[in-house]
Amino acid sequence: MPVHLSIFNFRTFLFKSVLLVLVLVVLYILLIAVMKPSITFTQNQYQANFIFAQDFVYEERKLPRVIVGSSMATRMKFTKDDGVYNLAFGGGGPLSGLEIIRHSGYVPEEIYIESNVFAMPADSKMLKNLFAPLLFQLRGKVIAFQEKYQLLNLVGEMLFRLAGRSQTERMHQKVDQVLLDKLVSNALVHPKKFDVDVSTLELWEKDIDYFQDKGTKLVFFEMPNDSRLVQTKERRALRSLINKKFKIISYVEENNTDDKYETGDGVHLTMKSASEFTNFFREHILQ
Amino acid sequence: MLFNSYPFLFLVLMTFILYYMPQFKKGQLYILILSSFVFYGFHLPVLLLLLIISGSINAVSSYVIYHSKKLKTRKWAATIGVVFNLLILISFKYNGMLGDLVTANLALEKEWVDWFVLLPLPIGISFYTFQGISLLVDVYRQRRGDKEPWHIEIPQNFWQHYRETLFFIAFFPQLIAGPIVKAHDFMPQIGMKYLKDIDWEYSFRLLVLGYFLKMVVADNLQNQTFWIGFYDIQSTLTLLVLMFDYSVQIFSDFAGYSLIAIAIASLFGYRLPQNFDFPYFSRSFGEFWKRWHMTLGLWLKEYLYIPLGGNRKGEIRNYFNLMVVMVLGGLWHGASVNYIAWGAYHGALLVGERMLGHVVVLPEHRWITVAKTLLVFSLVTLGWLFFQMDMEGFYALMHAMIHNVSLNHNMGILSMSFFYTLPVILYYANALLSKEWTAYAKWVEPKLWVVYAFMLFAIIFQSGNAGAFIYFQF
Repeated sequence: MPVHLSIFNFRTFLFKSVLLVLVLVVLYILLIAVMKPSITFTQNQYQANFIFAQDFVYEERKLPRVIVGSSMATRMKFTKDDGVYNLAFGGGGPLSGLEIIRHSGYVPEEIYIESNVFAMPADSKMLKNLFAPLLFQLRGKVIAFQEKYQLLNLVGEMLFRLAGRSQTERMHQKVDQVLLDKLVSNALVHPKKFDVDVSTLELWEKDIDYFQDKGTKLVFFEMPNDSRLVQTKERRALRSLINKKFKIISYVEENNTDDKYETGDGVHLTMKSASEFTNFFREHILQ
Repeated sequence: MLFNSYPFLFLVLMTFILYYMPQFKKGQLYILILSSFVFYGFHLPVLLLLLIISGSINAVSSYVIYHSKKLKTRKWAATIGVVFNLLILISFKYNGMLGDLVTANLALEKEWVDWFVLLPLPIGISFYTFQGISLLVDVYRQRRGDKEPWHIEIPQNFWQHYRETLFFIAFFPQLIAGPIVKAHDFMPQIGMKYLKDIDWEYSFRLLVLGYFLKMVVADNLQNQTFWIGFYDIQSTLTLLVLMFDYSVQIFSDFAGYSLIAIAIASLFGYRLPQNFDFPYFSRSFGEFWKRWHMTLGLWLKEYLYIPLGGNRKGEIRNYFNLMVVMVLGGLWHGASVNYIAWGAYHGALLVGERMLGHVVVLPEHRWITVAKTLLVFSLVTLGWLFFQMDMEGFYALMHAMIHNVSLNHNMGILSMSFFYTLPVILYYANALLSKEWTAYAKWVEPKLWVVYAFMLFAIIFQSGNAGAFIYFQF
């Protein structure tokens, strides 16, 4: 055999490795396609976001209402009866969600936009990865290539099921008041910048115009924060900007001035308060 | 263009097919130069101009140095060439720093300063300017009559030399993040290449290992290590684990890149130097710099440390030289106080180690070796914080590490850290066992194809979100 064709020799390291990989890949694809395991385990925040986004774009029967927002809104859990898909992203913002909906071509009846991190630009890296030309089709057809079916997610899911991880434990999460006070005072000393850069604002206008033209009802709302943070100069300026720019859109503000809802770090609700706020949202905003 | 992107795979495939087609045998060099230009200019074609200017200056200078009969002309050509290289590096990499200096001290038109400061940073500039300098210095030393174990031949035909130089500067596997190739290692390799000479197994192993380290280990760890910036809410243990994670991440990212670069170059018949040799096994800081980013360490040694006098001019001068080299090495990474501080930190560790070596001589013992290795690793890990945060952040993190002992540990981070650092721990353990225990090496080698198959499987189904290589920014 010519030397340069030695890779096709069955005994070679390379040939054996590649052959084994092919077998493993085919088996894994079949396993996932047949079992379609339910996976809720995620390895990190980016992956959790990506899975939410993939679940949304590959869902054939999409729900009529979509929430877009940041990690603050991710804590709201809805049931199927609510007809709401929560497309909020930890470490991300509502613009990423709007962009994903627009790129997917789906037109929801209603979109609820959490405005706490309005200034955050869209996550272009996630969008690029989500809608990558060939991969997008491949992941739709061969579901093993979807993010949630990573091998480690399967293992993690099994381990968590064996360990009997319970949501009720998290519902009784206690607020560390010292840590909370420290984080709130840090946030007051170094207030977050809410300046919106020009390209982000342009994208907002583009998306809002797009959905308004399609007849989607758009509602901005705020997730409750610690009362010390809700009326800062920066937050007031942001509200005023949103009202000025998109005045025709209904706006809901839940100031939490009496600290009815508890946060663990000043901005993220505890699971218990998130559940209470979800009820409020369901009764007063969704209707 | 990223190594872990589809356009890159397509480029390599197309280049490979054309390169070995018998019809294009004589145009191999042109094919690689063209592919390198596509690779470099893919996102911002205007940057190609700078690459071509840099290559042209180095081609002209080295040609003059080699062919001129007058010593004075050769000296001038070498000086002008090196200065040009440094000017390019300074203008594009340190423009922000210079802009601040100029604004503070000179009454120049603000628009000019702004224009200068906003010049884009061309990726890989630090790498290819260093290679250019290496070409000029190597040719100059050779013509000066220095006794070197290598020989560079510069043809009489300038056009031939020009395309070889352009190829040496622009060869895409090593263009933007090394390994830094020295002219005397690379130039003599230029010539006709044949498909039959490819060592497929070698290339395959390096490619799989490189992509595994980058896409499975580094890209997944990156999604954990960013939490170190949120030190206020993390426990001491979580922060310690995150620091360890970053050490593993930066190693996997850069060593992975280097392995891919070496593998791809080998597919085109070129041998690039090794860049990493299990650096976290180092028992001293001197040894660390012989194992980490080896080609930068060697470059700094050969073209800076030794010309400065190395250790030949007394103790104090030696310490001074070490500090200069390490601070400049830090600055080479970027125009930021952080990198200078990181370089100075390593300089101080090297000087401290040498000074201590004169006073304390530890006996050879396994546990002492382990303790020294752990100490070096810990201090190197601490040093990586300069890559991640400014000094204010550094102090705040240290404060948090002391005071957050009672906070709840982030079990998500801890468990994922375990999963993604484990392959690197095993990689190191395998190297150690294979070296120390022949029976193990004999037992494991025939089974490694299974390990590589699983690594390839993990690349397909367990990759993190594709991130740019950390060293691309340098």
